Amino acid sequence: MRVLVAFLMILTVAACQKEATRSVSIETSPNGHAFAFMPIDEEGVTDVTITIAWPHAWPYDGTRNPAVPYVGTQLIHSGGTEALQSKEIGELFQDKNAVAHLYARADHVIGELSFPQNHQDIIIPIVAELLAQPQFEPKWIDRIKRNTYQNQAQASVQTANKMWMVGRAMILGDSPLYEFTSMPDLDRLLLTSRGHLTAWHQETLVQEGAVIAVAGAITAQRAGEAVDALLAGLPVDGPEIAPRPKGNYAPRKILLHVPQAKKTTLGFLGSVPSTDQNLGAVELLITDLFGMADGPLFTAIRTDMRASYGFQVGATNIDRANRVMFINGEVEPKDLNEAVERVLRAYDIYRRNPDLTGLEALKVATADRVAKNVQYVDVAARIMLEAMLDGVDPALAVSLPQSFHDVTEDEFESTLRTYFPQDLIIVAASADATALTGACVITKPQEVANCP
Amino acid sequence: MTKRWVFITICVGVLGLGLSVFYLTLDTEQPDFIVIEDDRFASVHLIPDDQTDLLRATVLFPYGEAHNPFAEGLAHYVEHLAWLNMTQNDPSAGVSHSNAWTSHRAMAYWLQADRNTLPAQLENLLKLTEPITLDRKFALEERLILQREYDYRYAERVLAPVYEKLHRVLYEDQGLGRSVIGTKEEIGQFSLEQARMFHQGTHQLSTAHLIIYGDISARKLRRILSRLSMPSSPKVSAYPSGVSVPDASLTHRETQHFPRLKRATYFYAQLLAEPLCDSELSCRAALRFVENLLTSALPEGLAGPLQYDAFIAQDIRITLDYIPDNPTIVFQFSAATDRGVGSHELEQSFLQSLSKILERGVSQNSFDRIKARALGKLDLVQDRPSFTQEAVIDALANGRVPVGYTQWRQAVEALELADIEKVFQTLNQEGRRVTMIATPQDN
Repeated sequence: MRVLVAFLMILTVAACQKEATRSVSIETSPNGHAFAFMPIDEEGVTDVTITIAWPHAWPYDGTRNPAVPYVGTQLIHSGGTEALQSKEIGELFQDKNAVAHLYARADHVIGELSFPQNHQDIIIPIVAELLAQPQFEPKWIDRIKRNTYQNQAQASVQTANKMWMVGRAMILGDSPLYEFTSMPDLDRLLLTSRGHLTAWHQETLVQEGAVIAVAGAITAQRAGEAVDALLAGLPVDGPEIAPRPKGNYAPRKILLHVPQAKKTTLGFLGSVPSTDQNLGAVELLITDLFGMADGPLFTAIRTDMRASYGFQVGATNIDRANRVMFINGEVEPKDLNEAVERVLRAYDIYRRNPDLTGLEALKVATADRVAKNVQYVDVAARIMLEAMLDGVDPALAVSLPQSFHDVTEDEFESTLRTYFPQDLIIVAASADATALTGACVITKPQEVANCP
Repeated sequence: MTKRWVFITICVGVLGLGLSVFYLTLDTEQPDFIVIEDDRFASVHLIPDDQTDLLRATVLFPYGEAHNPFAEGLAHYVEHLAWLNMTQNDPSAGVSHSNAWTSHRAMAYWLQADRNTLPAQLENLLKLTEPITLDRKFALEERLILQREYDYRYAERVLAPVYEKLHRVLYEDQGLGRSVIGTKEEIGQFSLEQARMFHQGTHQLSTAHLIIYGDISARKLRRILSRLSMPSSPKVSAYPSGVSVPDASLTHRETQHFPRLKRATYFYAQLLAEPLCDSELSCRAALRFVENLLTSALPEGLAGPLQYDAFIAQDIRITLDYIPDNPTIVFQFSAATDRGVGSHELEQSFLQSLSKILERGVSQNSFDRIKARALGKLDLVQDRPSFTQEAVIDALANGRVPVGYTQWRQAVEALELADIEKVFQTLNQEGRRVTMIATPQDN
């Protein structure tokens, strides 16, 4: 009997090694910070990812310079500490195979730190100091803001980027959020001062309101210690976060005349539910089925009309209150009107009565791809974080692949009909000002306000 | 009776223990990839991965734009036509039109499958070797699609002409110096007859490399392969698959002005003789090592003098590639100027810093650090089958011997300081060099 039990135990251990299961819990650090936690005790996993989202009010405040968060996040990331220069920190991180990112989105500043678990006691104190006491050296401030200005100026000459700027202007109007997401006046980058940066840092990187997720080869105890260390040096109180305004999605048609454009770009925009409605799986299947090769959009624009290499379809957040679906691609100016007609017709038919022939295969392929991706420690941490920001159970990081399998045809069709907009905003950019019949033609994004 | 039951239990226990040990051992000793002998094809590689439910089948022909004797970009047109030709007869096969790519040295296509559909999908991929019989009008219209792809990928990439000119001069306007996409004007004039000819000479079963990735055993794959219905493709002489690399000395320096450019960018490329490596694999491992070293802010790196000690450059990119045909190293460096810095200052700083670094050589400390980083990074790779799949396809697409994760890690582990010093000595040669500087209009 004892041998039999031992044999069964051995088999069980062998089976466990092959098929580890993950779970997510909400833990509390010694200093009282709650965080989503996914321990990963699997062969080959030795790293840890800690990700933190700080809500920030800066992008919604019209009295503030919208460029500051962009410069500030780069400076903290690039700066040194009291003891170590930037160069030395960079090389130390390389030695330890650690990676840190800090970037600004509309609603949040997101920090992500990944490191092998045996280097925790070296990496965490450095990052904690970078977060709490950024050097904001004048020569680095000057460098970062001027280089960011050059990079943004370079990106802004792209016709597609100009078109999307118009799209955001149509939705957000002349608002602080438009200023933050589009940076229409790049000179504001150059006006970023040390005072701005200090003020932004003090009110944004704080303890209160920080949303935290930790995944990887780490115990809850050590995860809690790391979280506490990262937050300990930060001010406690955070900014007041006002409700986010909803944009204007009234259907309109605008063409941005760009005389020097080398291509004509066409875009469609519409409002879809924000991610806190937890429609992520079905929304992705809806956009993918519409946009995939031999799907309705591809057939309309490429196979039948022969007008485009391919149109992209997807959904993204301007901020968490404004999630948009988009359709976009390049066509010749002479094809613009017909392309608009065909896209709208294909979308309308799809929305009302989609052909679900490829749906099952798409569900399987998507679930498989997602299942592979969520195995990565950093991906798992990100999914947990985004779930928490939506008020959704962070265990989504475990259940996400299955959620694609669970989408039924009824759910697919009803989501499409109920939540995907009937009418879309149409925006284009072209060197040909006459290419889009009936469009309000503008030469600058701010002229959107003059259009009906 | 009792003794008999004890005996049976012990036997079951031992057998179970043995099976468990065997099972565990089996699991940890899975090779990165398995080569399946099949003389109908150039090669068949299986990359097993039991962590995915779906399989991916790739067919790769070791011919690309470098082998194209016709208008530039025609190889890419052939890729489009071959795919359309295959899917016109079986629309259910075409999952995505982006399941194919063309490079200088290869054209590759892939399909997803499960174990039940793998035979059919393999047969679909092999149909890419069948003559192109597309409707003529439709086939010629595909040139419009390519022109739109040009718009999507290149039309407003300000520096695209600089890259193109750099490689054209470096490779004497042939082979690796040709443009894979072509120009919009040339695309519009592609000949369908020439495309058919190039397709026939390059898309043959005997030159095809099959790469199967996913949860399938070698035994099962062999069985599937043995039962495949093979397409009837005419046998024509295949193109030679190698590429020639010029070895004549050259020093070319050119400045181009771009009104839409906001900062000056400097490009440097050099062809050098191979540094007498023990093997192609050890050479590549050493080159990757030196890439990481030169990119770092260690004393042997360029980041220190150019990005930290003085603000001279941003967006530094360094690559060291290996061309196996007449073993050649391609060293490339590019960077944009930092604020207030001119392209001349960037160039001088780069050349002087590089010269000093090569003269000083590599310290043991820096060698140890870079090696530890490389091995540490490899230890963090969670998805080793995917790593291997990418590595195998990349090798076959570039005329190299495929290696998987384990072999690559072993090659990195085996590196010694002397290997790196050999690369440094190589970089100190004159070689064939091209410098391109892109500046804003008034700089």
